[in-house]
Amino acid sequence: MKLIIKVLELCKSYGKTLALDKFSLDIPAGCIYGLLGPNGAGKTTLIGVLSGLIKKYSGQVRVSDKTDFSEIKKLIGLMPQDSSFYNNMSSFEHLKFFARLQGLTKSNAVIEAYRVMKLTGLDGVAKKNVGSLSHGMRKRLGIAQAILGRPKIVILDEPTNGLDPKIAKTIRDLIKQLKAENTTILFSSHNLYEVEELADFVAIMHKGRLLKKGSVLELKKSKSAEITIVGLKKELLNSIRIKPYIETVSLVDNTLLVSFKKKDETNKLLELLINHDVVISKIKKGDSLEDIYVNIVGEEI
Amino acid sequence: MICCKSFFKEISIILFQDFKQSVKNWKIILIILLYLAALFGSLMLVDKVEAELNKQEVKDSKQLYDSYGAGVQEFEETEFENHNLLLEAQDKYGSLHVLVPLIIGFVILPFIILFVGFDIVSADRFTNSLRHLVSRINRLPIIIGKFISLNLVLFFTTIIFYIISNLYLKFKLDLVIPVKELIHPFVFLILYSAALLSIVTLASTLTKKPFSSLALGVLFLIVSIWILSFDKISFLSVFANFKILFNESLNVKLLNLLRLFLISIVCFAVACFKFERMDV
Repeated sequence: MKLIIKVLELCKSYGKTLALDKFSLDIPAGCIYGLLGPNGAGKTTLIGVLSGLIKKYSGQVRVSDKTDFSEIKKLIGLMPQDSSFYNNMSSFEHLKFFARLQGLTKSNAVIEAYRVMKLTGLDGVAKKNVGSLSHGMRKRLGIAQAILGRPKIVILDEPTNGLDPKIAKTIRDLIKQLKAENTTILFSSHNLYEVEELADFVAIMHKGRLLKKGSVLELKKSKSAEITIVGLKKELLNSIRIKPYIETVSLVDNTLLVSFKKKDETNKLLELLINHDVVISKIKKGDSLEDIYVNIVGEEI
Repeated sequence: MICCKSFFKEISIILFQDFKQSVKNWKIILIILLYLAALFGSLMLVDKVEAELNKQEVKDSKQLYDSYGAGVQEFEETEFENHNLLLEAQDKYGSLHVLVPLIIGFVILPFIILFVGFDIVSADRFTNSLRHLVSRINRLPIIIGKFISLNLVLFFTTIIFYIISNLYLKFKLDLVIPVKELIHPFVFLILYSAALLSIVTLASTLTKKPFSSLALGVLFLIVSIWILSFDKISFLSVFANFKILFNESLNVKLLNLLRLFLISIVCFAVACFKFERMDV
């Protein structure tokens, strides 16, 4: 599989806080790659580094075998997290302006602006000032400007955040359509179902570190379980942690979040808990991305 | 060559866009109108003062004539003397119609530029709209385009002032100021505003919040005034050599213009350096 983005040992700090801690990631061409993580995980920082917004960092970034950001920028279309525009300009004027910056001639910029407006459903509000657009429309405008000039890579920072389900779906459909046109898409999200639906690959981040990465199918193969219990002592939790069949275990609000190394060993674990007089009220065998995410990030927290 | 071409193309796109935005921006329009009003006000004031002085001179001369019973010859001599004094003053300091608006411009331009340009970079940074630009093109064309665009706004304002004021003088007072006499004040105002704008731009690149950049801009201008009190370094201040406006040789005036030009270049270069390296 051909890699289009290669990130090696990225480090970035804000004062004493490490936003990226020796972060490495490879992104294959033509796929949809989801970045998952709680707030402050470093997703936006990573996107900032990849798109040239952040300058002070250490490590290597290689995009389509290029390391010079003046060349990399030509390959990337970015929709930043809080897309803000000039309120007294219309959507069309915005898109034409950005298309001109992309290097298009005046007439081609107009054609391109109309193409992306149609694609994102903005053609109805072409002449409306951005200041009067709804949140959803602004998000669409953000995506529209990101896909201007058909970039090889589109980076979307929380593209559906704060949108109603209907608009969120149209944006997800648009992302799928972009993938069909062989565009590589990197996006960050808090919405696990969305990542599960869209992404081919996922990277789970926390506190600037990469906790887990791989294809969604691969990740979902790892066995996990959620067991709601009462009366678990700390010593027992520690002894569970070092069992050979346990990969990770954490206790969040009386719920034991467990992932197993090779196969589902829930029964073995239940036996152990019962033997130690732990009251079990609910068992849920999980294999959704949410379970995996909660397991991995939950342990870190 | 291609790289150079795209660099200038990017500058021109940003410049044109920002210029259009400035012309649409009511805040900038209002400040520019106030600036023009102040300059025209000073011009009107010169007319009024000159008219009053002339009236007083005639009155004084008449009083002399009546009180001491001197002859018509004495009255004419007095008038001749006054006229000569006025001509001498005009020779020494240049036309008051040129000089007074220049002084007013010198005094109020720092305020005008501070309010027009304090958020030249920080506003876009604060609202995150800068991210769209920075992710698309190199940073240098962005700041150069924005800087030139505001300079152009001030350049056209100065041109408008000189055209309208000359038409006013020509048709109201039948007074024509030679172009030669207008060149220095015109170039001075342009370079002075460019130097001030470069200082304000530098302040705007140093902070993210527009209010902080306004405060920093004020601080920089206060420091510029403060360093005037040190003889050895006073030439570094944008406000130095005020008296050159009144009466100096051409060489000294040119050196002063060059000094302003260098201040603009240095401050703007530092602003570009900072803008190139900052996280957006």
